[in-house]
Amino acid sequence: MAFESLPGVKVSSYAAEQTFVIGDFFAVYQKGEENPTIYRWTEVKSITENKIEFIINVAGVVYKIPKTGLPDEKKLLNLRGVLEGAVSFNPKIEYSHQKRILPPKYLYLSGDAGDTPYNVNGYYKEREINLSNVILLNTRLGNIFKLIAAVAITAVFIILHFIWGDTAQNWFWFLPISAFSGGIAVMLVYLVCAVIANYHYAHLYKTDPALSEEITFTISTAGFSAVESHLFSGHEFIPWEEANYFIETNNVFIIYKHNKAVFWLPKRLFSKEVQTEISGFIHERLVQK
Amino acid sequence: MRITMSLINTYHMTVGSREFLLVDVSKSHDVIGTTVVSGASMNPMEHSPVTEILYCGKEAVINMTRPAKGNEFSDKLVNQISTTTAVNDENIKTILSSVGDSYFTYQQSMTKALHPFLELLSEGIYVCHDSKMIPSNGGGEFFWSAYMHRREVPGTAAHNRTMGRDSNFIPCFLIPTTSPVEFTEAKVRAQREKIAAGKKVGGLAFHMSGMFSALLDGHHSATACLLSDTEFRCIIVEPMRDMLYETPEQAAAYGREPRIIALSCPYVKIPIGQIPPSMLESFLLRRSGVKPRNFSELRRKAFKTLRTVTRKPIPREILLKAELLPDVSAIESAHAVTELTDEQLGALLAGEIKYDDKIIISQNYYNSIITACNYLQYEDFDRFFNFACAIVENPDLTATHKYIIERLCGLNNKKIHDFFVSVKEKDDPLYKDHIPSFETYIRSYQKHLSDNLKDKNNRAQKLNQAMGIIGGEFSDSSLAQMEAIARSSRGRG
Repeated sequence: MAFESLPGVKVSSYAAEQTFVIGDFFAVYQKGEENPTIYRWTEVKSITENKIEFIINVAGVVYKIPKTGLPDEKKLLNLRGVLEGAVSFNPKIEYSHQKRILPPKYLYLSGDAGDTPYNVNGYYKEREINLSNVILLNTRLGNIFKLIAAVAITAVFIILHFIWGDTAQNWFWFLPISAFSGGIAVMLVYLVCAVIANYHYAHLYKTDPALSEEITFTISTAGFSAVESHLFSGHEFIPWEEANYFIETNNVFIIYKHNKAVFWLPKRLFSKEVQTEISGFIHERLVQK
Repeated sequence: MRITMSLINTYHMTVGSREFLLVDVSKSHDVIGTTVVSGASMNPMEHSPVTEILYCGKEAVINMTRPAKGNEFSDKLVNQISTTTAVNDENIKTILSSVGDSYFTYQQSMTKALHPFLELLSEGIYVCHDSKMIPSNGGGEFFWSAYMHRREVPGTAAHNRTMGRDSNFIPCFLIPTTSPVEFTEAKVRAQREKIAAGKKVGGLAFHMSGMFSALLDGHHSATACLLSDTEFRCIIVEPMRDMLYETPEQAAAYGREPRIIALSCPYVKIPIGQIPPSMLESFLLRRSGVKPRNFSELRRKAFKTLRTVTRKPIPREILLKAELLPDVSAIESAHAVTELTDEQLGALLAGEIKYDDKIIISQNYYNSIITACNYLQYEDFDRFFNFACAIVENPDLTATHKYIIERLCGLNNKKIHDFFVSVKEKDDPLYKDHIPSFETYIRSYQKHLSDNLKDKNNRAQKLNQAMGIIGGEFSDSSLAQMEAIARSSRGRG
């Protein structure tokens, strides 16, 4: 079980009908009853985190844990850590959550993190995440943009042919106009995508409380981690074997698992020399794309 | 020691016939406890060895490793790594050495005697009780010198296959927390004098795993009790680490997976409903994976071995006495069998496995004999001896003779010596194959007697010289008392 040292959390349901104690077990006190029903995590079927609550489905009963029942965001992140820690040890639990920048904690293993040559505390910056996203968008949609450009160029060329006719004499006009139109089309699509991506991550930035917390980033021989500093113990990490490849942009190193970015490491937290070292360190363990 | 406001709540409780002190330790100094240092929570599908240590301050004292591919029913590898005397804090040493005296010698209440010690424990719920201990490693070896090298120790599994998860038992076998080098005959003698003078001596133990507890204080007292044929009692502090679940049948009646119905430690299973609500809540909020402050240092030390400058031999008399103590299988059988009447024993001697149409122990006759021997040896030596002799004298039970004779040979006792002498003298062809065993036993017993006599004569001679008595004759207890008088008069002089 990862994050098994995080303290348990006590929280009440809407209208305080139930009180939950969530730790090594999932205990539910019904209002007016002295003894709780204690569930093991193996009994839990699914956990869902949405904007307003955690929904736990256990032994055919659905319990809703409102986020407003927690005193502050630190406690909310603590509860999320406990739940995801339980999921890491019970992979049969179906777990769904909103999009995140920080790696979900069920990806972590607990154990000896090995030598930790790179360990730093810092905050994510909205700008660098957005910029990196746009760059990633460029990389990911590069072929599609080329296709859009080709289609636009051909379409404009054909339109010009039908409007002006006499292509044999005018082709040296038609070609630059078509190419320019293709460029404009790609630019427009790119801008729309960038605005959507920007909005998406800006929204994420506002909704995920973890992004306003100080984060401890670690890269070690055993694996890597990015954990809210108040939850960091030094014993949890995502092993290198779990990751597939990494991408290095001007601002961040991004590690991927199953084509999903799971770890963002801002470069500005390190000096230039260390950035080069880290790049080499990751390169020894993962393929760069 | 870091200054922390400790918060300790104690409750005197009785569950069934078991009386104990239930303790909730919050905000403690976290100086003593157990922690898993490796292999704990890697992929649950992966079977890696799990190493747990007993720590005291910055010292990793005992290493217990559940081997790879093991489960909760697997015995563990155990070895001593360091000692509590190596802890660089005099306060801790003073507290550890005072609990036993406060409770046993000065008759303080358990709550009062234990309080300073409880402040040292890691946070958790503990069951504390006063029980009889067996100063051996559960396999006939004297506990103090039995864990120098890592090896698998029967009875250390978290759950015992024979006894099951729900039986109550005392984790009575000991693992030392000081080095055998610290064994001093003078200290043992002093404790024996206390015993001879009618004073109580005892120790303090912390439950580690299965039937085994780490002896934090009372090593010399345990040795003295063994030599004086007196029971050695300890306050045992057992962390509530485990849960008891409904049986699958009970759960199936509700159509659900088995639920937790009690908190569990070897000594007692406390139903959820009987636990004070505030204590239950703090139990549920507490996490099992909390690491001690010095975790990194402890992990570094966890795989070292105990370093001893010189290896003082433990006197042979102690080693021989330890051989006579009940072993793990005797305790298992004692729990597996609730009662064994003389009539049932008679039926077993007649080669039956049933009495009154009920199976006495097991459908397997040989297994029944072994279990009966274990049970009797633990409960009542005389009944065991009579039963074993009756089997050996029964020509219809020759298949079991070898086992019983080997078992008797493992014990050092005058009755057994006399029995072997008499059987040997019969010159019965039935025992032809066992004559070498009888002869070896008789020889070694007689050597043991002569060694004892020599030792006694030496001690008497020294005492005579010290006190100016010529030709004095002493019994063992009077010899111990006279030695105490001689020492105290020397001290005054």
